[in-house]
Amino acid sequence: MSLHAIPVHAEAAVTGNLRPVQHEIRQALSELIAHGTHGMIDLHSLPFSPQEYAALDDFLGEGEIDLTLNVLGKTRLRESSYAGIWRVEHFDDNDKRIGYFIEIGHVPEILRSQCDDIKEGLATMTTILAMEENDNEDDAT
Amino acid sequence: MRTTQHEPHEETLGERLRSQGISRRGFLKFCGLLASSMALAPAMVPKIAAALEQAKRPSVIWLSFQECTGCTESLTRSHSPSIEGLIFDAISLDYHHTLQAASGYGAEEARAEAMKEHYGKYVLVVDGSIPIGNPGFSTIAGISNLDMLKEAAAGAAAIIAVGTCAAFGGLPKADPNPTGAVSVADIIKDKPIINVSGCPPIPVVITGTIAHILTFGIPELDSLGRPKAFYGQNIHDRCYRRPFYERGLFAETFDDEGAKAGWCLYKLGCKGPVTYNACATLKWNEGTSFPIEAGHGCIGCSEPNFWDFGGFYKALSIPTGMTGQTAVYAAAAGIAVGVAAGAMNKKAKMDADSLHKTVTVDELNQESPS
Ligand code: SF4
Ligand code: SF4
Repeated sequence: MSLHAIPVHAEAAVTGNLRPVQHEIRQALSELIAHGTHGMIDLHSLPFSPQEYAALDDFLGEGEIDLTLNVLGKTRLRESSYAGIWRVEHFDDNDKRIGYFIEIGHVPEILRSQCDDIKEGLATMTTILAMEENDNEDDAT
Repeated sequence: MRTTQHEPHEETLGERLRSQGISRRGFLKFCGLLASSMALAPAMVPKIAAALEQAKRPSVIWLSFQECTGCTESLTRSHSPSIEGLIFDAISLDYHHTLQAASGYGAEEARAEAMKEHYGKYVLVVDGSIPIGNPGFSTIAGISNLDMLKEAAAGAAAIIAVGTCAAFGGLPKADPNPTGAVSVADIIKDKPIINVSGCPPIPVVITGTIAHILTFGIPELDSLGRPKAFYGQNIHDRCYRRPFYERGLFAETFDDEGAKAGWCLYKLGCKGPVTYNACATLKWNEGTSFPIEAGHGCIGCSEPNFWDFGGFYKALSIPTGMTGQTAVYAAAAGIAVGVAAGAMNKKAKMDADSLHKTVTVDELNQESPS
C-alpha cells in the first residue's frame, strides 16, 4: 500500500520557505552572470510542503532539456524555463527520490565529464594507439 | 618523499567504492547526498569528494552492551544503494559480534588482533549502556562490559556512542535503573566521544558521523556531545505541522477531525518542541516519512532520560505532571507570543530533565540563548 492510499488528507500547509528559496535562486542566477559562480540549493533539507513544491515547479517552468542518467539509481536533470536553472533529482534503485537540488550554472555538475576520468581516458587511448602502431610496424616488417 | 616499493598499499575509500563498480559520477552523486544528509552547504560537495576519495578505510570495532540490537538493525536494514549502505560497506568492520560469523573465543581473538594492528587509530562504536551495579549483569565471552569498554577505548582514536543507551543510559537506565546502567561518557574521560543518540538513531546519522570523522575529523558537538549537523535543530522547528501549531490548531484525539486534517500533535504528547534530532528532514525508511507524518507525536527518543519524561501521551515534555489544562495554557501562551516551546530555555529544560521538576510556562516561552 502506498502512503497516498492512507485516508489522511492533510490541509494545505505553508512553511513560509517558498519565497526565500525563490529569492535565493534569483540571487544565485545574478552571481552566475556576474562572477560565473556555480550555485546549488538543497531542497531536501528544507521543510517544504507538497503545495510549495508544486508552486516552485510552476514558478520555474519547463525548459528544453530533460535528461535521465543512470548512476547509482537514476538521476533526472531538467532545465527550467530560465536558462541556467536546473532541477536535479536523485533517485535510488526503487525510483524513490532521495535528493533534490536546484543547480544554477551552465550545466549541472554531475553532467560534466570528471577530470580524473578524462585523464584515465587519455592514458588508455595513448596505450591503445601505441599498441596499434606497434602492431602495424610488426606487420610491416 | 619516496615510498619504498614494499610498503603495502592501503586502499582509499574512493578506490574501494570504485572497485564496487561506482563511477566517479556515482561518487559525486553520493557526496551530494551525503552533504545534504550532513546538512552541509552544497558548496562543500567538492571538498567532501576530495577528502573521501583520499580517506583510508578506517578499522571499526563495534561493541554491543545492554541493548536491543535496534541500532544495528537501523543501520543494516537500509536498502542499497543508500548512502548509509555505501559508507557501511566502505569501512573495515573488524568486530561486531552480532554481524560477524565467528563467535565466542574466535570473535574475541579477532577483536584483539584488530585492536593490536590498528592501535591508536581505530574507531570504536558502542551501542548499549554499561551496567556498573554488578559486572555479571552483562558479559561477553565472560568479560564484563565495563572491562571490555575500558580495554577497547584505550586504543581508540575516537568513540561513537550509538543510540540513546550508549549516549545517555537509555532504557536500561530508566527509573529504577536495576542494573546501575551508565553511558560511555560516564566511564571514559580521556577520549573524544561523539554521542549519536536516538532510539534508534537514523541510519544516515550514524554513517554521516563516521563520514565526518573521515573527511573533516571530529564534528562540532552540542552540549550533550551530539554532532550539531544532525542535532542542531529541534523537531518542532523543522516540523511541517508547525503552521498549525502557530495557528493554535491541535488534534485532541488520534481520530478526531483535527487529526485527519493533519493538525499539530502537541496536545497528544508530542515532544518535538524539546527534542533535538534530524527526523523532520532526513526522515526514516529511506526518507519515506517520520513519526509525526504518520500521525504520532515525537516521543523525544534522542534526549537523555526520555523514558522518564512522564508519559508519551502527556502534553509537553515536562518531567512531572504538566497535563490537561496547564498544557493547554502553555500551548496557548506559546502561540500568543509567537514563540514556540521549542525555543524554551535549553538550560531550564536540561535542569528539569535531570531534576524531574516542572518547567514553568514562562520558562517555556523564553528564547533559547544558544
Ligand atoms: S508540537 Fe509536534 S506536531 Fe506540533 S508542530 Fe511541534 S513537532 Fe510538529
Ligand atoms: S520523531 Fe522523535 S521520537 Fe521519533 S525517532 Fe525522531 S526524535 Fe525519536
